[in-house]
Amino acid sequence: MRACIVVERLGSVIVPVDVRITFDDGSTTDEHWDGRNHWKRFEYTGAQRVEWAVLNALPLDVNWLNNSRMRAPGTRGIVRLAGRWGFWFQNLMYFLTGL
Amino acid sequence: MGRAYVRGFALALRRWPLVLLLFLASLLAGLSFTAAAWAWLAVALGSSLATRTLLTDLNVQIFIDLCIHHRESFKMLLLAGSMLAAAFVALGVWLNAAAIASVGEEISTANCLLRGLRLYPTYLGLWVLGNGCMLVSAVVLFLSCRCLARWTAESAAEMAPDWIVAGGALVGALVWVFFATVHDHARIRSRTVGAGAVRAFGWALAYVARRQSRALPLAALLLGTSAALWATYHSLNRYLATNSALGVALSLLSGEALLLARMFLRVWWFGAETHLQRGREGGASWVPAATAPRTA
Repeated sequence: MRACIVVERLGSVIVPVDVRITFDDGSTTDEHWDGRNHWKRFEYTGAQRVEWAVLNALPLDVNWLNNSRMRAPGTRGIVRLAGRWGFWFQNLMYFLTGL
Repeated sequence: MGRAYVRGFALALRRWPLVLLLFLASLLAGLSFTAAAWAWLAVALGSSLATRTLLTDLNVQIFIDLCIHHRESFKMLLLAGSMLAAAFVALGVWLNAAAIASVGEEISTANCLLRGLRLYPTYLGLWVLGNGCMLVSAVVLFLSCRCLARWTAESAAEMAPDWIVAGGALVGALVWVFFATVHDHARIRSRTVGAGAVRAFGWALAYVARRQSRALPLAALLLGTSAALWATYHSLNRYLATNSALGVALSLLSGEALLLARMFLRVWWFGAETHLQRGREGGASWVPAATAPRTA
């Protein structure tokens, strides 16, 4: 099985970054990229599939949401957050209809 | 007051279908907003790792990035939320009218809903009056606190701003309890004598402000019960580990159980207040449907 991960620099600031790649068997591998080029490709060949890749968080980063990518997006985090918002919405309705 | 409290509880027990209806409407509101939030989060988060890590870590940075980088779609979510809120407030006014009718007369649930529909225009007017009073009070309170903060800006007392904020919050809470109680009694009065919104509100203002009516102590007692419910919910939730799928599911279920209890408390509240008003007039707690005053 061949896996390919492309890391792209979106801005003009050159900062070295570390990339952690996690495979479906739980194993991980760390890569380093100096960030000089606009993008960098990492390739892996083996029996396991890549589950996700994540960049180390930089303090000056303007968007933390695009620092990671999963093969298949999760839903549990969304369920927790959306459910919690729904609960507070219910409480707001309770308050609004009470007065 | 104690009798009204106990009687309200008994009335709420008897009127459980209305409690269930109120809860189902609340559940529908929650599910609708959850679905909208889910759709937005799924698009905004894409396939980032946050879709998984949010289960165990509610990272503030993710919320900041969501608001900054998905501002336009976030505004759409807020708009959808506002529209849902407007729709469910309109539905809530009707169901609350039905609940008030249910604790005042021994009629079927279907008739309560019909009675609620007839009371709807008056109750909508009362809702606007109640919220208007609250809004004006909040603005006056805010401006007063601001003036006070400016006036004491040169004061040597370092805690002055904290005391002003705390005092403002306390007065605001008391004003909210007062107007919420006035609103409830105005709704009950309007159903009982068929008065219009302004007349019923004016009557309720005088009624609640009168010490002998004991409307505020009853409201405080019911508010204490509500606070006890909250405390129980939070105490139980402390033992739930919300960083697992099972923990999140149990947490959401306990939240719905709390809301069901609060809906029961609302009907209890209406029942107790109805009994208090009837007690003042020396009447029975329940009025047979045939002799119940008709409302326009």
